Amino acid sequence: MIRVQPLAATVLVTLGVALVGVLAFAQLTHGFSALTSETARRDAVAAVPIELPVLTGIDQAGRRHALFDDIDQAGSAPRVTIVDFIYTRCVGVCSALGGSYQQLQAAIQARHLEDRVRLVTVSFDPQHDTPSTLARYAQQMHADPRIWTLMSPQHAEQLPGLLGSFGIVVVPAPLDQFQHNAAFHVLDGRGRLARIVDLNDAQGALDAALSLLPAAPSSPRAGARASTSASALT
Amino acid sequence: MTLSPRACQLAGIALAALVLTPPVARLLEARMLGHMLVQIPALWLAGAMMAWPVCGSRRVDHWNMAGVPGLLAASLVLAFWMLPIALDHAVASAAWDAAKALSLLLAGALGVVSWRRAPLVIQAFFVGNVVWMSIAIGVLYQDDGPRLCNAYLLDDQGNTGLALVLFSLLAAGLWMGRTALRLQTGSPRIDPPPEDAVHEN
Repeated sequence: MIRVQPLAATVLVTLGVALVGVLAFAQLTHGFSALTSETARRDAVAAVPIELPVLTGIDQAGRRHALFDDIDQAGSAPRVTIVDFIYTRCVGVCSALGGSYQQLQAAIQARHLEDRVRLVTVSFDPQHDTPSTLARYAQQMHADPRIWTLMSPQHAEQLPGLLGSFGIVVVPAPLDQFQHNAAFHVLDGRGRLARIVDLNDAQGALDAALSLLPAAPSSPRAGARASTSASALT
Repeated sequence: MTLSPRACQLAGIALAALVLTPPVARLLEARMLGHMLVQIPALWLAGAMMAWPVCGSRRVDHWNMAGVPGLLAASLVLAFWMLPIALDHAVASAAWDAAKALSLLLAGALGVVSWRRAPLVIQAFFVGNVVWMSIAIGVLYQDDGPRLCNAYLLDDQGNTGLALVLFSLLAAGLWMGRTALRLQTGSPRIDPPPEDAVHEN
């Protein structure tokens, strides 16, 4: 057996520990860029769009169809979709999201983007948020059915899989509430989750949606619309 | 320590088994406070207790002079499991949770074995680093900003941050008090154990 000098051995082991430590932290934080799993989720989606499971939902009109299927746009160019997850009893962050969705809807109407961008709100509380509850909520929000669809999954047992594919964690909170990582989820024309934009940045969500529009013959016009976007949401 | 080394080791095994038993682990991990300030310190302590019988052993001296690599590894493991993304992974995945338990047990064992070899200045360096780091993270958690862990409530995060700061201050206070007492009474244990010097030659 080779006798290594204690000092040399200690220095080597210390360097080894430091190296393993740096590698472990780099792995954990995706190369020192993400200290929270929310940042990691957003970075991962932006790097590689995620295919979503196909599952049936019921919308505010009581129609049953695949959750993110754009049944109102059948036959024409697919729209880009901005998705959020809520429960209608929410007194916290979801009410802010509702307000942001109203702003987004107004911006889409003002800029005639109805055939390019649509909004989908999914309830993760299907026991409570029945089609009639969703219809009432849609009415309160003045949701324009051509733009904004509200849905809940038809089978509650499919909900964990759906939330898992989006990377959403719902934690029960006191007073019958939930806390959840709320954000704008932007689906590209093929229905893949392609961007996650912060809740405070409705403008950013619309810009992300417009940037995901498939290059169409009218793309210069879409670009011109996008360039005027700063004024549209203020 | 009034317990015999053997009893201490058995108590460490029992403590680890307790906080890793699925119902208990679920209960502790259901809240951030239980996860960060009960289960994680308990696992570290259990590792330290399990290693107690080999504390005086000189077999690790030839690669662990003054306890430096051992203490470095122990503090890196602690830092790792203080990051919000690591806590979320441990809650969401059984593999991450197992890695957490193993690394913390090992960190506790390495920590206590190395601590006994470390001269005062090395101890001060690592205590200072770990305490400073936990206070920084505790302050970050108390920030009324966004939730940092998807698995935990905002209130829980704030309470955990406050508890982490208090826990760190308490640990620093205890260490300083003990050290001051020993300096005053001139106890020889604050100096590196003499066997290190023998091995160097």
